[in-house]
Amino acid sequence: MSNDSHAGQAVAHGHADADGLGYGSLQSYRTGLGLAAILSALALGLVALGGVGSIQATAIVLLVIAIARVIVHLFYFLRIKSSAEGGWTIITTVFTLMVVVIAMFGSIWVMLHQETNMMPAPGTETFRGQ
Amino acid sequence: MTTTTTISHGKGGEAPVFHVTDEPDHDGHSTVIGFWMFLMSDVLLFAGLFAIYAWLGGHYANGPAPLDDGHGSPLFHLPIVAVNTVLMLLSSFTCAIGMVEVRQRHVGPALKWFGVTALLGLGFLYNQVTEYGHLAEIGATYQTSAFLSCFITLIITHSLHVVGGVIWVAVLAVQALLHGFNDANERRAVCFSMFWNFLDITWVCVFIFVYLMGLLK
Amino acid sequence: MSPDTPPVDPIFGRLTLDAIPYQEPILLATFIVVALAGVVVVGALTYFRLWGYLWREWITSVDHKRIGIMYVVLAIIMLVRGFADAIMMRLQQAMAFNGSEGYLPAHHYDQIFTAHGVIMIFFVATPLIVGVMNFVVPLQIGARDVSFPYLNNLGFWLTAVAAILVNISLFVGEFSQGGWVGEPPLTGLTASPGVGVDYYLWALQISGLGTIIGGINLLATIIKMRAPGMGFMQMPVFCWTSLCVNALIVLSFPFLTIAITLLTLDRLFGMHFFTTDFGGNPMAYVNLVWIWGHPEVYILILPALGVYSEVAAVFSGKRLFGYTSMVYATVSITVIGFVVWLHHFFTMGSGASVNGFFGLMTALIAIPTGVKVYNWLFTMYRGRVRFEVPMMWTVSFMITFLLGGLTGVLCSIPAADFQLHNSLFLVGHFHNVAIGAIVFAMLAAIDYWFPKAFGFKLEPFWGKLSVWFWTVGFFVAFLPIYAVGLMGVTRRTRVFDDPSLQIYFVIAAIGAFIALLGVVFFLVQLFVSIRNREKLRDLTGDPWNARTLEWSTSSPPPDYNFAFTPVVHDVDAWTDMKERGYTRPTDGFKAIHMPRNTSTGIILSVLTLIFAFAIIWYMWLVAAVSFALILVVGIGHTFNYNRSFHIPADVVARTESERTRLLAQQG
Repeated sequence: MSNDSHAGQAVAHGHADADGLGYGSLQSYRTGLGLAAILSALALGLVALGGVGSIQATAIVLLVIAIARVIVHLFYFLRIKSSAEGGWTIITTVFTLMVVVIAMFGSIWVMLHQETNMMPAPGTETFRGQ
Repeated sequence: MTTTTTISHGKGGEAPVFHVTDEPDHDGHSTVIGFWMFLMSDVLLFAGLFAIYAWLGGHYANGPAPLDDGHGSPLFHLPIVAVNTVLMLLSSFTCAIGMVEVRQRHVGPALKWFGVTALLGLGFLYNQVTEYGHLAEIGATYQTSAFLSCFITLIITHSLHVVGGVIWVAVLAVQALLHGFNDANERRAVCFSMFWNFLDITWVCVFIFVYLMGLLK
Repeated sequence: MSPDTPPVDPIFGRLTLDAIPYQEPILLATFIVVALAGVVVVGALTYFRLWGYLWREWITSVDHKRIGIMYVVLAIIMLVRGFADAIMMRLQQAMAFNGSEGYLPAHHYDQIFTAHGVIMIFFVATPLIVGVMNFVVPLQIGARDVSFPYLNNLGFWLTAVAAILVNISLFVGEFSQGGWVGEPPLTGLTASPGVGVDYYLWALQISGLGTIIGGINLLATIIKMRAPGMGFMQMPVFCWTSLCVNALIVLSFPFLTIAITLLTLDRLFGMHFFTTDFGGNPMAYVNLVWIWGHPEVYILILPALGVYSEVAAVFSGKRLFGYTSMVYATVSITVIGFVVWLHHFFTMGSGASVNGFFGLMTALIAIPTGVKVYNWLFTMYRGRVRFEVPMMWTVSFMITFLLGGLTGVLCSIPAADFQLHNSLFLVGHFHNVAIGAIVFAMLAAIDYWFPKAFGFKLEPFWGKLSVWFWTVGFFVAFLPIYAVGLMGVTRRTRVFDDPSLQIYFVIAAIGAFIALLGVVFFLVQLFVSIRNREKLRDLTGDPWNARTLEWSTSSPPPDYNFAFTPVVHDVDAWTDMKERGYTRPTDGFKAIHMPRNTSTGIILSVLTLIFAFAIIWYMWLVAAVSFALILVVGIGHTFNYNRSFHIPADVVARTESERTRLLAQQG
């Protein structure tokens, strides 16, 4: 990739690369649909039936299902792979996820510490039953 | 290394060549990666909304909360959430089938599948609109608490993206009828399918991190 | 618009004649001057029949070179306003002792410091770096234009329109008084019910959109359009810094968008994100906005550092020292810049462990920055240094920026920051780095690339005067400010109680005037150079004996940049070509594919301006209509498939042989 430049390459006439984004076989779409449906049903069923033990445990299972479902979507529907667009879709996605993780977890860390150290603000009381 | 035959690289005493003498057209070669980057910025936008929901979503201000809307029933309704999830997932699938037809330049079948995608999207939007209506009815507006501000803003942002997608596919349909799936329209269809799939991915995050986690007791 | 706002007029919203501040003498005088200047400009354009030329060659142009120049022109115009704000503040602070309230009432002074910050960051620094990157990067990578020329045009006009919105606030209504970052609850609905903060939010929203568009554009360009043979490690360092900057833009601006959108929702719909009741938390805004805000300052500084890399190499007559370490340093700054944002609010109660982590990460950034400084020094060492104006700016930068960087490390220690936060010491620090790195770099860049853009060099005498006056002016203005900051004086203060501090502020005001002369001399330089342009003409395309590809073209380059796409074999591609006996091709030219001009960019931007103005003043009908028109024009534009044309081969041949003739004349 480092010595590669597309100025002279045959990415002629604006076709998305034949094995790149946006194209896949009917089979992969059907598989993706099936997997995604199963994962979604799992998540919904889990909550409908009351979860697995503590709230934290159920939350972690849901998190794993969410990540799995997103990966299924990325690989079966979006067909993102390391050859698409010279690997740049993977790189940009990795950088974006890095920023999301830093911003999300960094901020949660910061906000949690602030809330511990500061006086409770009005309106942060929870409602009955929660 | 570049593949055009009109360049050599100065092997064995030849003078190095410093310019290309023949090159193909580059029209639209950056569109896919450019649109992908725009989608990444959209992912970050939603990440910001999710982050705000993570920090402020628990501030109910003595008002409605996911498990108790103040009238004895939960604010989040699992059946409707399930239906919405199915609608979005199916629409991703029909969009993908549409793309198979686009690649083969079959305008009619492609538009049929995109039409189904749009209809499923409209169904999703109808459910969302009825949900807001219900919230307004029981006095759960975005002015009631930080939780509701965050929740409603997140849902409405997603719904507005769906509206955008539906308008987009309608315009694309008109353009495909006028010009078929020429290079430009094919690029647009690829971008649309990327966008629509990302909407489904965002919905997955919404339905799991907001609705389902909110309903845990 | 809280729940108990009275209903507004359907067409004019809350806009009334009271919004025009005709009882404020300073504003009235400014308006008269601006109106007269406007009349003169419009009159001249009409008299010389230049409207057609302006529309065809500049306003609707999709050429990255033209758009880059327009960005820089916008920035220079806004620099005048931003600097005027600075002078007004210095005067006020120098006067307001011993019972005197100065000449600026509080609500005016507060708008001035807010406008000064907003204008300098969003409408001077950002357009300068975007403009320079736009002009230079495609030429340096051997491309004919950016990846998305239409979006480039749109991005520029959105930025210009946002600048116009800020200027409209001067004469219709008021501007924000909440500081350039606009933190609630001061900028929330309760504390600032007027239009000021709304102007601020929409100006940032629109210019932010323009910046993200530009970011995606340049990122795609650098990734996809490099000439054959130019791998990433053969790119000029300026292109590396541009790559990192545009990645930073795409990755960080969405957080600004979110922060200001949520604040807008709080203000327009009475939501509770950042309110102090009903569960809102103002610190959520502070956190979000600084997740953007810190990468933002690296966005501003990295291109500046890239300029210095180019200039140091060319004017030392040798290859940049430590190319690989320069690249790694740039990437490290980019990455670490994402984990330091909390240093902007150490004092907000996050506790020792959080503060300690962010303080450490902040101090760490000094390391790659130091690597860069050493690389420039070693580039100069044993080189044949020519003290042309760009090189003088570089040397001044190295001294000035060193001080600024060091004071930054001082502030990065949380315990020290509890004393220094929001003091004038902090103000000294960020002006030090902003002026020393960004302003000096952009002035160097203008001087360095001006001959490429316009075909003649800038008169060096006035340029060198400008360097001296800016540098001396900066130190005279800001050393006293550092001193009073250390003594505990808070920023943004309008009136002072302690008479012993006055001398510092008087000296600072004198320094500001010296720097003002620096600006004046820069403008004189432009004027004099244009008048003497035949004497300063550059006919070779390479007036500095430079090292990168843009200098292989004529000055100015033809519309298509390169008749044949160059093939690159080494870093410093142009030097490589010169050393290996490159000969310009003189025949075999082909027709060149070029994008057409577009009027959609300016039309959409003007509609956006109307939309924003309408929302600010609650003119719902106008807002709805303008929004609908935006959709119609935007969607309508996509129905136009006829977007490009070919420059015929014989036109290319003629342009190139004209250049061959000129080069032959040089002997």
